[in-house]
Parts: sequence; structure tokens; C-alpha cells
Amino acid sequence: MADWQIITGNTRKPPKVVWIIALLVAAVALIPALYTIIRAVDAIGTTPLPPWPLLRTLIVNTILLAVFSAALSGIIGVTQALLIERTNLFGRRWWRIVVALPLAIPPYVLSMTTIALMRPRGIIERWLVENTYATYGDIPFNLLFGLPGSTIVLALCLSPYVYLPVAAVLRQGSNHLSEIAQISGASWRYRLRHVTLPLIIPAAGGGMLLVMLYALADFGVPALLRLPTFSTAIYGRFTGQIDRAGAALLSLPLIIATLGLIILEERLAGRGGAQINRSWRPQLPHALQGWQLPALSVMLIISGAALVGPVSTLIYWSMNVVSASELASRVPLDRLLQIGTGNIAFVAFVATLTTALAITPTLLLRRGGIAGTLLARISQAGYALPGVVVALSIVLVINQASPWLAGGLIPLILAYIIRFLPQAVQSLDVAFEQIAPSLEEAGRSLGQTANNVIRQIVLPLAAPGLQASWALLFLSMLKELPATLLLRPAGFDTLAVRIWMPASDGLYTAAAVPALILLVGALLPLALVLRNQYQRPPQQPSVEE
Amino acid sequence: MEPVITLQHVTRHPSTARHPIVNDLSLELHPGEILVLLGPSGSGKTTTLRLIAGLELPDRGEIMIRGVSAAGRGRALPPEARRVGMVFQDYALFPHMTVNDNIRFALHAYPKHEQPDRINEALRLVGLTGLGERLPHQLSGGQQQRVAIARALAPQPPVILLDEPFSNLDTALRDHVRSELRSILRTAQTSAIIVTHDQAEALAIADRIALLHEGVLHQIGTPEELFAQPCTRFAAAFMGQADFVTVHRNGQQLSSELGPLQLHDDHVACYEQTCILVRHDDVSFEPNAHHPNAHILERHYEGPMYHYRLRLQSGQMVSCKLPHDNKFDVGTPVVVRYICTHPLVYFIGENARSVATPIAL
Repeated sequence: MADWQIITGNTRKPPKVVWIIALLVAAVALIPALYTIIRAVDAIGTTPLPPWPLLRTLIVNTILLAVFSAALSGIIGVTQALLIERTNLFGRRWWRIVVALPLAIPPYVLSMTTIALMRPRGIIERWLVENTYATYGDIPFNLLFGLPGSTIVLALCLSPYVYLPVAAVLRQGSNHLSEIAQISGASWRYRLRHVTLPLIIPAAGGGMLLVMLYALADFGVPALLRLPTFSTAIYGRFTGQIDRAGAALLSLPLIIATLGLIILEERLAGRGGAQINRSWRPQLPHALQGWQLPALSVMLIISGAALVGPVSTLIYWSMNVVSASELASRVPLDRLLQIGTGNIAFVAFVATLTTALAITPTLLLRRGGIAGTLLARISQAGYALPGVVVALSIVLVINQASPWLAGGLIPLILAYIIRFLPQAVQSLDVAFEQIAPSLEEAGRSLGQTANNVIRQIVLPLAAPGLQASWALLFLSMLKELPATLLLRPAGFDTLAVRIWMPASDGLYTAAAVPALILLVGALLPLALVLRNQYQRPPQQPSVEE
Repeated sequence: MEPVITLQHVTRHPSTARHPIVNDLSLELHPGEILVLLGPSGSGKTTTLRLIAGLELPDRGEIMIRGVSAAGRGRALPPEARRVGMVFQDYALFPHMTVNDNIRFALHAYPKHEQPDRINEALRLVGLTGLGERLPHQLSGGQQQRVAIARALAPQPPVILLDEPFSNLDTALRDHVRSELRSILRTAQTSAIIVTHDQAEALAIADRIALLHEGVLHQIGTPEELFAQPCTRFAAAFMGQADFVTVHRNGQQLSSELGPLQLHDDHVACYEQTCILVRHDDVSFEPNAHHPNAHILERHYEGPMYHYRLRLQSGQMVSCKLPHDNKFDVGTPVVVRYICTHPLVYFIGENARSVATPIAL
């Protein structure tokens, strides 16, 4: 007989070693956030705030950008999901993949190509003037800069955050509800409003909150489209004026707003959603008939703006030299490929590290009681920090505690881990929760220790989820811009940096080749994400005959 | 012989629940015995199983496995140290492991070179020889269940626990699997505790039945005892079709609409009015238009038998089954009488009970 042991909780309670690692992870995640807040609170009163008109502009712009881009991506994502999953739209199987592809396009790349196409005297206006009766200024292309352009660019890039969960609900959810409504004689309009929409609202809401979080934190889009927001202001203070206290002070409202959204998201998560039952059968799609062409046009316009436009522009640029100055600013292709492979290897390494670190907090999230949940939540502190602020807080902490670390790769690695750990914990949690609790209990009652059960049962079964989580991290890290710009050591180049440097000077053609290399590098992880989305991982075998 | 498992005053009362899930439960499992925990859903039977397996902990009381304390007084053995086999309702086969690996998972305490023999032995026992390289999803439901049983039995535990083992099988397969399980357990000389909510299943497979209701043990005994001599009205109603007919005391006799009964003891018979338990095999009827004491209210066809619901003149109901060549219309006036010669149980209130034998007329 084994030793006596005092156990008080459930049998899925993770072993000690999990707690110790999770404690370390939580400390790494919490300390920079905490220190930034302390510095910001210190700075209140001593550091001058920006003048009120400027501050007001920052507040209004940041809030409007978050709200508008969430609303627009909500409309785009829900429309796409309904058309693809619930109607006989032409080419549904292809659309499923196409509408998820914008995940691979960094918003700052879409901003760049959109500026070139749509700005006053841009490619489109020049073509119109040369080929039609239009003259310059007939169409208000100058609206592109500022809020409208930023909103459209962010919404186009981020709509997969809404489309993917909503489509999953529509695909997996019990369609008996809709069928019973149909049998009861409800029209499709009535069913859409009273059955389908209520079913997808939690998923759509969750996705839109993610878009809001992203929009609050985004740096590249407002910077290129000249919309002053908190992110760009913090970046300006940090780099231009080298005013760290001021930057910390400006981070405070951003941290508070982000925390508010996270709390909201917590409360929405887990509501509604899809219950998968065994008797699931695909629903008969709604016949579009005469609406086939309009529906198809909507799909084509959205994907044209989000995918075809930017990609064809990038290809055109990389094959045509526009001016001598742009030619001079170009980096040779073999050097770019070298940067690209180095970048991809680095991101793959940090994504692996982050996935591994995310395992222990995720295990504690639902199995560790109140203390475990708390620890897991603390390790998600980086969620509340936009990339600019993560970079700032790491600089602050490293300067204070261990200046010898500055200048190496460690600060950048830490920034990626802190920034993207919450994302990893969330996707791992989904993977772990799909494993039936009886499997773990069976493992224990067959005489294996909790440690062995985690190693031999939980982790192998969660492998598809681990893989998808890794791929998502890889994508996010490859696209990450502000923290990379601020923390990269001298001589360390990434594709994002190589895109940003010429693009921020308006030399877009020089940014085209690194952007294309980044897109190619993003395709493989995106394929992994999509495979996990469309193919349910092997689960508990069905117990029916 | 020493009991395999002993529960002493075991109570499970989570802080979130208003009532205890298991309330002061004491019982023993003897070597080689098949004990069925029977009860409606929410009666605490699955919780009892999980308490024994160590998947939950009791708040009071003690659990002993082969004379050694496994849980109690704030100390508990973890599930992996209890040497108790468990078969889950969903079988809980590891989907990423072959049948062989699933069984090997349970045999880690055995030396490597012994494992293949043990695995083959376990597969032979459940009749799945040759299927060891299959993955769980390549097996039928019945085969998956037998793998789960083989996995639980492979390390030769003194007892295995089965949670609703037949609920996921279709009716045709059930009877077959039930008798097979009995012979597997006999061959392996393993004691077993089986949880079910199906009284017919319990009667068929159990050596003894423990009847639970709202966390409380109502009665424990052989299937015959529970069916013929239920201790409580709940037990009487749960174990099979039961009707309660009012009886009046008349000296050493009881009178009822169905005829008189002879009292056996009189210390509880001081009440004027009590209820007697009548099952459908205790009575019979024939049409009688002249002196009826009941009429036919409903008729259900059950293949070999007709099941009649009869309304007595007082308005009380009794059930009776007749072979299928006795077809009478609803509304027919009838005379219904006791036909049994064994004592019938009567209740005073919910629990107090005694017996009386019908007097042949």
C-alpha cells in the first residue's frame, strides 16, 4: 500500500510540481504589469499630462476606433458565417478557407497597401482620372486617413475573430432548434431573428470583444493612417521624448480600459454556445435563389478588399521599381530571406516555449480550486497590456532590477511570452476541457499517479489543441510590431521591422518583398489553425453500436 | 470471512448542497459477492461508488477496503493506492491507446515480461482475444464495455465497481451482456458493486441489493427479500408494480375489499386502518355481472399477457395480469380475489410493517 496522504479536494487536483511552475510563470507575467502601474501612479502629479485638447482627442479616437472596428468586424464576420454555414452560397467550401485568411495579414500591411490604392492621388484615383471623366477631388479619398480608414482596415483584418467562433457554433450547434421552428411554420426571417441570432450572439460578442482588445492595443494601423491614439502617443513619448514616466502614465487608462473589457469577456464566455449531441446532422442550407448573385458580390467585395487588393499590390510592387530612392532603400532579397528564416526560427522557438509555459496555469485553471484559478488568472496579466505597454514595462523592470539583461534577446522573448501567454492559456483550456473527466479518473483508479495521468492521458489527448495553440501563437508573434520595434537588440531584424521601417517613411515598395515573405511564413501555421477548426480532434469514442 | 469493503456511517455533504448526497450509509461487501446499489436518479448511488474508488472523499464516516482504512478521520488513500477496479458509465477508454495499451496502463505495477500474458488473460476472460491491436473507436459499444471490464480486472483487484454498466447498450444486447458479466465475475472470483436505476436489472444480477433513496439506505437484502418483504412503502413501490389496498382490523383478522387476511402477530395491529401491498401476481379476477367488487378500467397488451388495471368499488386500484387468451373489454364488471398463499406485507404509516396471509375462501 502506498503512503498515507491527506487529500482534501478533487482527484483531478494537479501535483505539486505543476503549482511550483505555475507560480513562477505568474510571477513573470505579473511583475512588469504591476511595476508599470506603480510607476504610473508615482507619476501622477509629478509628470505633466498632455494638454486637455490632445488628451481628449486621444480618448475619443481610441474608444471610437475600438467600438467601430468591433461593430464592423461583427457585421462582416456574422454575415460571412451565416452565408457560408446556412445558405447554398456558391463555393461554400472554398469560402470557409478564404474568409479566415486575413488572419495571416498584419493590419499594418493592409494599411500600407490600402494607402497606396486609396489615398488622394493614389493608384485608384489616378486610374479614374485618366480613364473616366472624374477629376481629382471628386471622390473624398482623403477620408481614408484617420478614423474611417483605420476602422475599415482593422475590421477587415480582424473579422476572422468573429467569423471563426460564430461559424463553429452554426456548424456544431444543435440544429433541432431551427428545425423545430421550421416545422412549427416559422419563416426563415423569423427563424433567423428568434432562433439563429440568439444562438450565435455569445460567440459573436466574444469575438467582437477580442477585436476591441486588439483595436485598443494596435499600434501599426493608427500610426500609418495618422490617427492619434493612446498606443501611438505612448510610443511617441517612449521613443521621441524618452519620457518613461509619462509613457507609464499614459498606459494607465489603456490598462484600465483593457481590464474592463477582459472582465466583460469573462462574463460572456461560457454562455450559450454549442452543445454537440450524437444525433447531429448537417442542416439543409437555405436556398438563396435570386439572392445568390448579391450574396456572392458581398463576399467578393470583402475578400477583395482584405486579400486580393493587398496581395496583388504587394506582388506588383515587388516586381516593379517605382523610383530610384525606393530602389536605394530596398534590402537585397538574399538578406531578406536570411532575416525571414531567422525570424521564423526565433518565433517558432518562442511559441514553443510559451505553449509549454502555458500548460501549468491551464491545468490549474479548472482543477486547482480557488487558489489555482487565481494563479492562472494572474499569469494572464499580460492580456491587459498592449504591446507598447508590455515593452515599456519590461524596459522599466530590467533597468531597475537587472540592467545587464538589456540589449540581448531576453527582453524580447519575455515580451512575447507575457503578451501572448493569455492567448495560449485560453486555447489550451478549450483543448483540455474537451477531455472527458472520466478518462483522468479512470487513470487514477487504475493505479497511476496524478503526474502520470497528466503525462500519459491529458497531454497526448490535448495534442491537437496544443498544436493549434502553437500555430496561433506563431502567427501572432510573427505579426507583432510595437514590442519588437522597441525591444529588439541592435542588429536583430525581423520581417515586421523590415516592413515597418520603409513603410513608416512612405517607401511602400521597399516593404513589399518582406511583407510577401511574412505572408508565406504565416501560411503553414494558418493551415494548422484551420485544420483544427474544421476537423474535430478524435475524442471519446462513441458508445453507440 | 472478512468483508472486502466496509462503509461505516459514511456521509457526503458538499458545502454547496442543501441535503447530504449520501447520508449515514453503512454496508458491507462480502468476498465473491455482487452487490447492486439501486435507486432513482439523485439517490447517491454513483457518489457512493466514487467515494469507494477515492474519486470523492466522505465528510464523515469511514471506508475500509479489506480491513484497511481507505478514507476517514481526515485521512484518505488516493485512488491509485486503493486497488479497486472501476468501469465508468462512458467506459473511459483512452482513445489514443490500443486495447492492449489501455490494459497495459493498468498493469504498470507488474514486471514488463509478465504484462503480455496478463493482457491476453484479461482479453480471453472477456472474450476479445485477437482484438488487442484495435483502437477503441474501431470496436462496437459492447466490445468497448468488455475492454473496460478487462482493463479493470487485469490487475486482479479484490473488487470492481461498475457505474450503470448496461445503460449504453440496447435492450437486445443487455440480457446477454448481463449474464456474461456474471460469469466473468465468477470466473475472476472478484467481488463487484454495480450501480443501476433499473430494478429488473438489479433483481436479475444481484446477490444482494442495497436500495438507496435521497442518500439514505432504505433496505439491504437478497432480491427476493426486497421484492417480497419491502421495509418501506418507497421500497415496495420501487421494486415493482405495487398497489396499496386499505384494510380494517377485525379481531385477529384483517378485512379488505379483496377478502379477509389472517394476522400473524398483533403488537402492531392495534391500528384500526392500514394498507396492504398487493402485486399483480397476488390477485386474479373473473367476469361477474351479479356480485362484482370491481370493474376493468384499462387494458394493456404485453405480448404473452394482458395487463389489467381494475377499479375497486371504493375507488382504489389494483393491477392483475392474465394470459393473452383472457381478453375482456374495458368496463366489464369483475370479481377480484387473492390467489396467493404467502404472507402479504402491510404498512402502518411509511415504514412500520408486518405480514398477514390471505384466508382461502
